[in-house]
Amino acid sequence: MTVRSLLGLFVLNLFALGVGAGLLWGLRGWRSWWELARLAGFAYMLGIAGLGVALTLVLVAGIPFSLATILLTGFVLAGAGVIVGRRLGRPRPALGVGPRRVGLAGAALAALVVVHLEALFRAARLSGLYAFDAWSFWVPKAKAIYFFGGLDEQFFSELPNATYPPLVPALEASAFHFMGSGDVVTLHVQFWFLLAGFVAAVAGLLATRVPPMLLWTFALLALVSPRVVGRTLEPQADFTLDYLFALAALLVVLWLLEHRPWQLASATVFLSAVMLTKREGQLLAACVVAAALVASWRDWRNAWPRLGLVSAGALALAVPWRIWYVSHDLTGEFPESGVTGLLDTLERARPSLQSVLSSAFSVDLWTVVLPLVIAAIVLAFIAGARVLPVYATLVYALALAGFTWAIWSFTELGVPVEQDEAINPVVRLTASLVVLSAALVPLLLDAAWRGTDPPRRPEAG
Amino acid sequence: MPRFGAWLVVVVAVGYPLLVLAFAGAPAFPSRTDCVVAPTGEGEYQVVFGYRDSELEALQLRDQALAVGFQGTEISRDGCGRVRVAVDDIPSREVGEEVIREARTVDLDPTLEQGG
Repeated sequence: MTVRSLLGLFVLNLFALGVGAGLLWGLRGWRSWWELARLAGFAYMLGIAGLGVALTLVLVAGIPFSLATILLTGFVLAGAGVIVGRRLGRPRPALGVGPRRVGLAGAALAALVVVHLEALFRAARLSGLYAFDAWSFWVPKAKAIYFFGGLDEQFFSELPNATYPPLVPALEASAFHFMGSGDVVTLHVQFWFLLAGFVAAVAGLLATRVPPMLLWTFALLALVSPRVVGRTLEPQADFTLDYLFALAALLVVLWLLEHRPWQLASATVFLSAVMLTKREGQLLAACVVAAALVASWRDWRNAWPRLGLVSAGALALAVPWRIWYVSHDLTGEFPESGVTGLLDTLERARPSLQSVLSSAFSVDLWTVVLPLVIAAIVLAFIAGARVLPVYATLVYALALAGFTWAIWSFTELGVPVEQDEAINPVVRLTASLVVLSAALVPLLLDAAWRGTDPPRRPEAG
Repeated sequence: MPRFGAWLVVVVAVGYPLLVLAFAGAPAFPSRTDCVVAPTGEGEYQVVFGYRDSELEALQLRDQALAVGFQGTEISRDGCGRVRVAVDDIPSREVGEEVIREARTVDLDPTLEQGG
């Protein structure tokens, strides 16, 4: 049974890779098959994001959720990408030249990442469904979609966090369909695929832009953080949100530096997926867009309309879910204090900020990731880069401010604020910034080394 | 200065996990044996006839145990990807060891584990 489930998951993720490759062909294309191999991780994550958004819309539209629906949705997405690619006259890919030399240190670090992922795979195969939120509502929602063929309003209203978006439950339900059963043990492997896909996506996007030593050092540092090791395989939305957010933020900053249209088009898909993964996804997406608007102020005539278009596109894809749960009288989207009730609880502001900062800088959770982020930003700025450090500073600062607001407005949480994650979501929130660092710090340090913003070998296409 | 700083950041990023490894030891990864809980504390116990990879195989072992008189033998997922065949709710260690002695006379080889 486990082997059948594993094979099913392998086929599902191969399918997601195919869908993503189709979308990538439409959005960007590739000049050689080697280039596609380098970007395979990114294509996979693009496929996951695209499928996740499309399947959410399928659920909201009330279309029966079956294996045929999943396959058809994927084929439509991939087909649309292929048609767009043809219309844009993308040239037939050549074999191309192989990957450039990595160097001994870079290869050793990359090998350590692979070994680490292999160990996590073995853990994923044997993980029971013990994570509280996972068995409390994420997996039950997925099972409801799998067994009932759609969003069961009555069942959803009985579960905690009924208004959380259904992208992850839809992906989990897809996994059940491909596995042929509601196998909640092997389901953890799906989250291993997402982790491996994220690492491969960042590596593929940055491989031509930063030295391998920088790239793999920070991928490894983020991966070995105790919290990532312990929780990344749980079948709930937290780390999935973080991967999607980090890729959206990376694509936006690459666009700020290189101005390739595919980067912004792909970012739109990831931002909509971020908003459809968890409530705080809306906050994180807003941080990315706001940081990009400020970082591009010198070029505002060119940049701001495009960033506005990205925001509108991502919002348009996320709104149908909001319409669905409002029209079905599901509640709980906003914090207890309301959006404007913060002034009545001013005494909570400082403890909330302390809670966020102590979580974000906790060595026990994240080792030394965030102090190194600060060092990298300062070094890039001193060296003469501007767009990159300004953008990074704003994304991190706005997100920390946003998390403070979230804890501040969460009035069920008493003062002094308990850090226990059974009652305080702050640890899950700050994970997004640590995952993001795996993508941004290599760029920042490269900019610090060269003393300028744009990467050394900007992407073509 | 920025170049030296960049190198320093990389050294810290590589060195910190290595220092943790050096002082705290290698990390432990979960394995199937994590779902086998030795009888160490108070409370109830279970007599486990074995673990199987599939429910079909587990049902065969359960039927074998039931056929020789071990009423209450059931199968359940162990949380580590295997199916456990066991009699639950054994009230004491002595009772559990008695059940195991009886089982060995009919070619079964169960073990005593801490109950859930």
